[in-house]
Amino acid sequence: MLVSFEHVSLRYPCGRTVLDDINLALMPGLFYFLTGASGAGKSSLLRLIYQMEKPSAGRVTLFDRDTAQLYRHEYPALRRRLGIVFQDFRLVPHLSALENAALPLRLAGAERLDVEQHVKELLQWVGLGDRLHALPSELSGGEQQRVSIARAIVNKPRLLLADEPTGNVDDESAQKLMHLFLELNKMGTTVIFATHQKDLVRRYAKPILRLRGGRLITAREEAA
Amino acid sequence: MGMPSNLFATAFSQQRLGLMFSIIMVLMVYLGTLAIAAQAVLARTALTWGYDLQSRLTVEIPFIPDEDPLLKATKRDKMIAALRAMPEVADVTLIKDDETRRLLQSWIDDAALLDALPLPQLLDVTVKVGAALEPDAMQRALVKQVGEAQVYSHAGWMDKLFGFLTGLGVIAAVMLVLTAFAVVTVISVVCRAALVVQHDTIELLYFMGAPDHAIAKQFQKHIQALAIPASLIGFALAVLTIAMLVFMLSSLGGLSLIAPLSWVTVGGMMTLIPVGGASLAIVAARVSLLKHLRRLG
Ligand SMILES: Nc1ncnc2c1ncn2[C@@H]1O[C@H](COP(=O)(O)OP(=O)(O)O)[C@@H](O)[C@H]1O
Ligand SMILES: [Mg+2]
Repeated sequence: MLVSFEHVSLRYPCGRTVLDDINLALMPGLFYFLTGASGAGKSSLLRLIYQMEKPSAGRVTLFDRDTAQLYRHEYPALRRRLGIVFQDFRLVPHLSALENAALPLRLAGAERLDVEQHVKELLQWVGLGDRLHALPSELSGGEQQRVSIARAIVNKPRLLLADEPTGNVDDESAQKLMHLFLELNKMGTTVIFATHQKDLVRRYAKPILRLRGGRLITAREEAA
Repeated sequence: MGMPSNLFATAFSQQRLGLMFSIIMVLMVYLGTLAIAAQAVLARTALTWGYDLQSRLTVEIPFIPDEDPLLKATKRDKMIAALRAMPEVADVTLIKDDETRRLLQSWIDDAALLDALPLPQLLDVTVKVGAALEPDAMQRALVKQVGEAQVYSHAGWMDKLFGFLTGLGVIAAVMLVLTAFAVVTVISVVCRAALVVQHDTIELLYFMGAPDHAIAKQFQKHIQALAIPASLIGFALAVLTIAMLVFMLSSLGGLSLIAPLSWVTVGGMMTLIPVGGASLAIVAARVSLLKHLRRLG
C-alpha cells in the first residue's frame, strides 16, 4: 500500500475539524483524482500525506511506514520520494526557471552541470523551452505552474501530489498538462491530482476520491 | 550537497539585513577588542603596582628636640641593623635629610622655616618577594629592640588607586561579556528576520526533503560571508584606535605609567575577539535555523 489513512481526522488549532474519520488505501501505479469544492479539505489531505500536518486522530501510513513512528532524520529520504505541486507554486523568487526546476536534484546532491541537460529537456517537455532563464516574476501564472510541475517530477518521484495543478491555465493548456500527468503515470508514478474542476474529472476514467463536509463520499452519495 | 548557494539572497541582499548585520558586527568587534585590550593592560598594571606597593615600607624615627647628633646617628644605625636582621627584609636605605627637605620644599616656601623644621629620619625598607610583613608587628619589634619608631605601609593610601584600577578592569571584563551577549542577541534577531523573509524558501526546501543540516549550512554560509569581513574591519579599527592612544600617551611621556607588558600577549588576547565574535555569530545563526526547522514539524 502506497498511502493509507485509518480513521484519520484533522483539526486545526483554531478548533475547526477539516477532515473527519477518513479511510483510504491507495495502490501503487494508479492515477487518482481528489475532488471536492473549494474549502473541502483537498490541500489539507495532501498536507497529511507529505507530513506538513499531523493527524489529530487516526493513522497515516506512507510507503508502508506508520508516519507517527518516523524519526526526524528519516523524513528527508521519505520526502525525496514524493513530488509536490503546491497550489501556490512556491518557486524561489530569485532563481531562474531552470534553477527552480533543478532544485530537487541539487538537494539530492547533484552538481549543476550534471543535471542541466536533463532539466532543460523536462522544461521543453512542459513547453517552457524558451523561458529557461526567466525569473518567476517574469513568468505568467500558467508558466510558473508548469515550472512547479517540472520541479515536482524532475526526480522521478514514486508518488506525485498535485494540488490544483491546472488551476491557473486555460482549458487547452490544462488538457496538455493532463496528458503530461497521465504519461508520467504510465511510466510508473502514482499520481494524486487534486482539483475542483468537475469537467476535467469527467473526461477521464480514473478513480476518484470525493471530499465533502470533511468526509470521503462514494459516487452514489455524490450523485444524491 | 549541491544546493544553489544563493538560496537566501533575498533576505540578506534585498532586505538590507546583510548591511545591518555587518554594521552591528563591526561595532561589536570594535568595542569588544578595545575592551579586551583595556582589560589586559589594566589587569597587568594593577598587578605590577600592587606588587610594588606591597613590597615597600617606610620607617620613621621621630624627631627629638635638642638630641645629641651622635646619639641620633647611633639610634639610626641600630634601627637599620635591627631591620636588616629581620628575615623578611631585603634592603634598607636611609633617606637623606636633603632628600626629605627636598620632598617638603614643594609645600613650604620659607627656607628659614624649612631649616628649623623638626625633620624625622626616614628609612626606606624593601620587603622580600612573597614575605608577609605586618607593619604593626614590625613597629612593635623595633620599639622593643631600639626605641621609638613609626612604620608606614604605602599600601594604605595607594590601595584606593589599586582598587580603582581593578574596578576599571572589572568594567572592561563586564563590557566584554555584554558585547558577546549583544552579538548573540543581534544575530538571533537578524536570523529571525531573515527566516521570516525566507520562510517560504525554507519550508520549500524542507518539504522537498533537504536535511536540516544542509539547509542550515546554506544559511550559515551567508552569515559567514558577512561576519568574517565585518569582524576583520572592526578589529582593524580597534588596532588603529589603540595605536593612536599609545602614540598620544608616549608623546605625553605617560607610557611608563603602564606597566611593562608584552604587546604580543595583548595582541593575542585582542585577536580572540574577531575570531570569537565571528564564530559566535555563525553558531548563533545555525542554532536559530535549526530551531526554526524543528518548529516546522
Ligand atoms: N492552517 C489552517 N488553519 C486553519 N484553518 C485552515 C488552515 N488551512 C486550511 N484551513 C481551512 O480548512 C478548510 C479546508 O482547506 P483546504 O484544505 O485548503 O481546502 P481545499 O484545498 O479543498 O480548498 C478551509 O475552510 C480552510 O479555511
Ligand atoms: Mg486547496
